[in-house]
Amino acid sequence: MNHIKNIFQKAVLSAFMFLVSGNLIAAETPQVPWRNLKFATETSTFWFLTGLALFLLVLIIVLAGVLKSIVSNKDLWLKKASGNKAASVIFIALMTLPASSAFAQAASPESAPLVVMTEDIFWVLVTVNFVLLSLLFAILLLIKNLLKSLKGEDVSEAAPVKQDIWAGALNAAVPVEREGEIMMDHEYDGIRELDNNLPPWWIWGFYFTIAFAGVYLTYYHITGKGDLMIAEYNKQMEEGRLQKEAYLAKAGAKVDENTVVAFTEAAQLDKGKETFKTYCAACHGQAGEGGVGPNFADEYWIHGGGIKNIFKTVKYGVPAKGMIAWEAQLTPVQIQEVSSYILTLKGTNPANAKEPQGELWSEGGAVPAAQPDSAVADSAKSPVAVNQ
Amino acid sequence: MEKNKTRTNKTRITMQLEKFSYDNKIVKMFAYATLLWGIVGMTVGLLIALQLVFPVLNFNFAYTTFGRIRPLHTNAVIFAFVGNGIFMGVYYSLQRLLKARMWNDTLSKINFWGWQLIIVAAAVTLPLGLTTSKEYAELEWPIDIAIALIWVVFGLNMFMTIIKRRERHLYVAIWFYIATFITVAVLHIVNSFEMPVSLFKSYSFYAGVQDALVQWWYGHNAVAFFLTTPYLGLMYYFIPKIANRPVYSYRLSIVHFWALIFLYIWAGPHHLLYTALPDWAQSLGTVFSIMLIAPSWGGMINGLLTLRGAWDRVRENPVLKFMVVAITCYGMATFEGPMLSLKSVNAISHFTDWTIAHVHVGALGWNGLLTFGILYFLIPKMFNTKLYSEKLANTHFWLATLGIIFYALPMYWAGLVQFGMWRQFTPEGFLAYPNFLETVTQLKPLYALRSFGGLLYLSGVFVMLYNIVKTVKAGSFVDNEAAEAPALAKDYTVHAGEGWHRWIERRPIQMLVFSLIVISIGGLIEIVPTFLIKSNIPTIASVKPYTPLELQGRDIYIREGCNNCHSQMIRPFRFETERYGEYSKAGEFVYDHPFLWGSKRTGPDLHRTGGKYPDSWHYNHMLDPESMSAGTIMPAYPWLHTAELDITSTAAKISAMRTIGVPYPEGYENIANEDLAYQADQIVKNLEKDKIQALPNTEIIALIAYLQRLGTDIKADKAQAQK
Repeated sequence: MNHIKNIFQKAVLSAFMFLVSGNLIAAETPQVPWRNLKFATETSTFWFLTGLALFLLVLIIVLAGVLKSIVSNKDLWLKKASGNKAASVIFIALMTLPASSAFAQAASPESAPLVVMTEDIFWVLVTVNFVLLSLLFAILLLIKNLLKSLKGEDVSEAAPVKQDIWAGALNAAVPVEREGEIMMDHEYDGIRELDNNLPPWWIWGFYFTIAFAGVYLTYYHITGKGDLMIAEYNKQMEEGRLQKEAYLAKAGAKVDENTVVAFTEAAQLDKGKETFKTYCAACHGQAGEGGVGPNFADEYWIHGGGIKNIFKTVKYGVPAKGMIAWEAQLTPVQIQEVSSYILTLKGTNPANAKEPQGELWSEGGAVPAAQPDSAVADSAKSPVAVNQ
Repeated sequence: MEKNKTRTNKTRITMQLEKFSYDNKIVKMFAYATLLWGIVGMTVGLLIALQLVFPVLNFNFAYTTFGRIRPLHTNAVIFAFVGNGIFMGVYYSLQRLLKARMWNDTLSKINFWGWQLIIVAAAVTLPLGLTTSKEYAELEWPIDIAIALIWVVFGLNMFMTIIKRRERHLYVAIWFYIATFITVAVLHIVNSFEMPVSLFKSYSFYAGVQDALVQWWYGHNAVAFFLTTPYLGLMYYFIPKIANRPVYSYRLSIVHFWALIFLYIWAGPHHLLYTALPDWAQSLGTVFSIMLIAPSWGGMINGLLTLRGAWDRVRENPVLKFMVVAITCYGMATFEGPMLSLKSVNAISHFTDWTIAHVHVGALGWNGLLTFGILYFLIPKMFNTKLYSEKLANTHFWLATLGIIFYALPMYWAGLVQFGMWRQFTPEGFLAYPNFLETVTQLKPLYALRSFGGLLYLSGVFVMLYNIVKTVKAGSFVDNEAAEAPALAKDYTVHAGEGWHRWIERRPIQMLVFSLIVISIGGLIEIVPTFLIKSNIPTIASVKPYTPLELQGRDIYIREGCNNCHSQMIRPFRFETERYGEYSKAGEFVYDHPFLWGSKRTGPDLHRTGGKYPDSWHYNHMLDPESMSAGTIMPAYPWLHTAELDITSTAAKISAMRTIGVPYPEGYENIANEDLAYQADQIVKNLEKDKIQALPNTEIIALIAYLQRLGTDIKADKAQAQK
């Protein structure tokens, strides 16, 4: 017994934690089983789930139509005393009919722009399917009961106890037929009021939310167990850092300004060229002739030439002059590739070349400025960063 | 039961019936105004929706850019469409529920024409860029004063009518009207504390975090007490009236009314989750929002279950159909709202289109459809005829319902897609979509679909307009509807078994005062500590007031409504700090009158944009955004490059700022323009280096100065610390 209680407590607690904590937005946490599912981010999964949802929708629409035809048979329903309650339930079911058919129409054009399948979307789709499935079962159950009662097997009489429990738990209302008993004696412009009980599910729901408020405030502000936003943020950052390191170590891609060597193979230089065109050309020219930023084709360097200095300048940038720190967007290997490519530009004499800036650089020669952000040339311009 | 009957019979015999009439004319005027402004407001809505798909629709014209007319849309639909809808419904139902004509016809007319004048003033000033920038409170101080006066006229007229009533007890609808009146008055006055600089420019009295808290206490409760409580009152009158059914539960009315107005006022901080607002205030916002589910649903239950035994009529009567879907939308929106107040969900929805979807389910569904239902009921009734075409009303119903679906679903989808892209990291630890623009272009088809939804909804309104015009032509209007009722007896004997709540239902003044107390508690507990307790907003030594040029630039930022698309609030998430830089701190905003955190990121956050790009980038980007980021949906602002900056206002602005606590030295206003000119020259020199010829006295220079300052103070602090 205690065991079951324990499990129950744990389940409730973890559900609660999931609700209140930043779980959804935290970086991938491998230890949680519902994260990092391989298939969840595949496009085929998306199409499968969307297809399933559409299929369920069609089924629901068809069944709702069946329901409607049963309900609209007025003669049958006039004879049934219990018609009112059933009718209201059915109405609610019917109200969803237009909504779901419109959703079917809306869903297909919507998916057109979708190329990004994320885990969040996966879980949304799973939820949608779950809700649709529940709706389908509800309709099936309804039809079953309706057919039963139409055949003459009165459901409410067949299971009176069950009915009472449900009615009691759900609304504790006095039936419409006996509403005279609870009619208040006042009226306003012809409007009268009943004095029905507060629906028990409503009251309990209200109590639950109040209890939630108490637990929430206690958890975060009295016991201090919950992470407030900055603590949560620090954890997130640490997690991100560890993941990044683990990845780089695994991929053998740990290059930095001290260990970097220039690539000479065409394949890697081509990649560097591509990176150059995408990110650097806007300021430094398509052929490295310079523009807002300095010329790469001469032998003068503002922040030092050679693979190590170039790597460093690209990586950390020169924020004071508008050169972005690219380490936030390029991998160490990409920086290595593009720096190697830049080295190959020397002496290419491109058209419209900008005047030389900085100091003449020869390998092992002139001492480069140690600090990338130290002011060197007065003619330095603010290069334009193209990227947001 | 028996006893009561005899009592009423006796009353009937002894009481003289008084003859009087209901003022229908004022109801008709408000009904027409509702229609007119509904169409105007929604048309502007459709235009701004289309601008996000086709930026060319900004027309390269200052007065029609998104940033200026988005507030026009929100103000028009909230205060013009729904506002007139409230007056229409209240003026109709109040007279009948009290068995009394409105106290003073002149006041009714002042209420009507005053309100329309305010709307016209808004429609003129907002495109002109005269705005305080505070959402749903954008109107400048002279209009704020006019709003307060007209609102008091409305309240006075309502209260005097209540006092002169021929009905002993106040029906639940009137409780809601009273709470609405007093709360809106409090919200409007407190949030509109501002320091005038000139006739059409003022600075919020509050700064930064405090301003944000007061603003969202107001903003959230504008939804609560302008879009919700008065409409619940209308629901309580019109649903039982149209369906001819008794209200489901009087007891539920009492409990949900008091719970709703007490709890609602606390929920404002849920608009500021994960911002620089202190954690404790955020948590209060969350838990009070969760506790709001039941009281909100109490209204839904009472509305829907009043239709028990009348569901067969719902199928046939289009008016009831509108009502039922309106209440259903209310139920959905009031469940979704609390869910969005949970931290983990809010992290997703905040700043994305999810929020837009959420508010439109409420606005289009609850307010729109309920208003339409009331119009379809009232017009034929007042014109003594039948509705011209039930079929057209049905068509309208389906257009509106489909419109809502086509509006909301793409927006939900857009919110999820964009958040998914924002937060995605590559295994190398980089943002998967470092360019914000990528996440915007992805949404364009969804924006198009949303516009289609809006178009459907708006076309439905035109169908209604036709139907109503036809109905009006066929009928004959009854200006003054004759009625009779006995006068209220001087003394009243409480009869046995009467509920305790009947006591306050006989006492409008006590009802007013008690409502005021109930709604004040939450606001006081949340707002006062942030003013009094220093630790709530830790100061940062290096944060300094804006220079005169930056201050002028900031006012241009406000004028152009940049805050409608750009936030200035970096939340403490890895995916935000990687993209934008260090998360925003409370101490950075202490001189921000008003705060400019924004609530939606159609473009990227700008809080740390200072120093990120060279001056020339901003110059070119504002002139032609496409040239700097291809595919952008941002409109161009070419007029900034030619318009001369008005520096005659500098001294007044500096003085005003000092009055509300910004530490400019005494007398600085006299020399401020010298500093301004010097800084402008520096920027012009910078631009020259990039071969851009700019005049130092143009507005763009001031804007660049402001943008380059944004979020940089804290860096100075760091540099100092390192030294």
